[in-house]
Amino acid sequence: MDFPRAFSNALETLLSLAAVAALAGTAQADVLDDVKTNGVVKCGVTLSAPGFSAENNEGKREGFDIDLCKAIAAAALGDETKMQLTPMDLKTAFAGLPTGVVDVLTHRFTWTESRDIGGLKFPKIMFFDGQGFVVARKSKVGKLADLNNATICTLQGSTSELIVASYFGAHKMKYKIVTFASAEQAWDAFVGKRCDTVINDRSGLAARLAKLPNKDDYRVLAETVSNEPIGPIVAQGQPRWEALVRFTLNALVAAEELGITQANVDEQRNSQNPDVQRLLGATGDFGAKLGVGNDYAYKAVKAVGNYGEIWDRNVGPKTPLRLERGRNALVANGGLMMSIPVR
Amino acid sequence: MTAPPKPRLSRAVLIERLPGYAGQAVLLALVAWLVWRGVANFQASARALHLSVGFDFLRTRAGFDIAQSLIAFTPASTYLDAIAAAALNTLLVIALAGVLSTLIGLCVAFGRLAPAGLVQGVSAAYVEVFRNIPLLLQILFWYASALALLPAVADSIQLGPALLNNRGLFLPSAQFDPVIALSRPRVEGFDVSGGVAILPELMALTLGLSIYNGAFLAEIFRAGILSVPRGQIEAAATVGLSGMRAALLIVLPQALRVALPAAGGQYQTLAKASSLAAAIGYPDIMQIVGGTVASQTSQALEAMALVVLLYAAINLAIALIVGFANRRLLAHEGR
Repeated sequence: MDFPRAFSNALETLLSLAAVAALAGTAQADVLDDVKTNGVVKCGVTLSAPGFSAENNEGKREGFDIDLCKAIAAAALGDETKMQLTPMDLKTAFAGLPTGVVDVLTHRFTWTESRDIGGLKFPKIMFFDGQGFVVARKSKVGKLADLNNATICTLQGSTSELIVASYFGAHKMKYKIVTFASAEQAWDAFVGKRCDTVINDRSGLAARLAKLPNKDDYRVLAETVSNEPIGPIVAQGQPRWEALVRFTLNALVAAEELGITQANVDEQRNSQNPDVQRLLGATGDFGAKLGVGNDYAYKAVKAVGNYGEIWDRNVGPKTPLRLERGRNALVANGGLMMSIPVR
Repeated sequence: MTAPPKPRLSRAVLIERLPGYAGQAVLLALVAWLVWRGVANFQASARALHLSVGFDFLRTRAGFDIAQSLIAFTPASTYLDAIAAAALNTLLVIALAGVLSTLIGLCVAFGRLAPAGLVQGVSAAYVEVFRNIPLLLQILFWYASALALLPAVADSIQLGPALLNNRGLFLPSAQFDPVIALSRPRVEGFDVSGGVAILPELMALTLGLSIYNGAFLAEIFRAGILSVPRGQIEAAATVGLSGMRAALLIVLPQALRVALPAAGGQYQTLAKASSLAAAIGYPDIMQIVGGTVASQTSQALEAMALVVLLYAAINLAIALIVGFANRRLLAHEGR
């Protein structure tokens, strides 16, 4: 008789139904509540970008983007080690964020109108970048105009694809494009002479060049062809989580403005400066309103230092990347980086 | 001739089967409900997340370029055009690799059955080596080799009217503008102009897919050939057919009948494996639709659904073609 089998099939169906319902449940739940329940912040990060997100010799992932994830974990859970890093390419990142695979992308993606409207929210710009081209010195290309008829390697689905199309189109220059699933593949193909040039964010180019033994054989062209505001990304429709991420990142910049460092943050808690008091939670209730401890900013700075310290440690002049602050200097120092007033 | 009367189910049998029927009906209802709930759930979740859902984006301007396109494609074309171009690129590589792997498979299959020791050994080694190395590794190997071995544009290898360098193989092509003329590729600065280009990515992918699937097809064809009774081959020799003609006229048609269903499955494997193009930057469905379109529109779920749909359609088409060919073969057998 078939009945027992039909019954077990039906049971299986019910079970999978429950799974679907559970899945739909997580998609709609509040991310901040989920983070607290799970006791971990899940961050999507770049597969490999030295200085931003790359494994060190001990196999531990570190870099600028990792420090941002640490700061968020410290602010949300009071412990910067409670983070889970998932290396993702563009495809998995943009599909994984809205479905809850990760809570936040501390990645290298540019804030664009279509991404924002499409459901990806950028709480705060943490890196003002622009795209540039690298060429081999031997090719005798000195400026962008020399790249007519060039073959260009880049990352598929990136803003670079669109920038190349519009720049070369506007200047009536011809080109051929070869796109790869990861920035690393695109770079390898360029080094393998498949392309005459490779386009990427200047920070990304610096990161790749830093790794090459023969970096003097290559040159970054002086022209910057785009503005690339870059920062962590959260899913749309999560106002509490978005606010926490925004003001955690903001606290890192505010700390630099106020002279609060990883080393002096403990004594700064006793500061008489009302701005410092509000930021570190000695007065006011910003933390409570964000749904975390009032000392969330203190925890974040204690974990990774202020914005300038994160920069210097990972990508600054003393690292292989040798990046100057440039546009990312504080406004007081002639750059573009500023905090949202903590008041 | 009248059709045999349908056996009528007795009451007893019906009653005995009733729980089974009821179970199936309940299961069917549950599955339908599950699908309906799943779709409704997805839409509700998407609404709650304020995600724009739908395929309206297909008609908007793409704004990017594609390295290789069989249809006219510029940044001004739509996403739909991009998807069509990507699908054609996938079909192109499947067709090229399908033909090439079949030829390799046939040669190696006959090689393994050859009396000569050397041919047999080489063929057996071929199958064992290429069948046992992951396909992705092979494709990466061919791609890296192509880039490492081929010269720069300035030092192009001249093959008659064709040019070969690390930007691809450039073949002369016919041009119809305004009269028919031959367009010969020539080096111009950075690049080669004129003619048609076969990209290194296409070469590496076709080579990798053909060599790998050729090894599997060889074994499938060999099984088919071995299924042909020895007497048939001896009979062919008796009527004076040469070895080659006997193979083509007597052995192959009969072997095909056995080999076709399994070979069909292998062609489907090939079609799916063509998505490994993403590893080397060949602009196929996975690369353009699952990568570029997904991210430029931020509608990853829709783009991935399209990827699934396209691959399913291609595989179903292959299954239909193989099924049709199989029925034709069996019909011949019945005659």
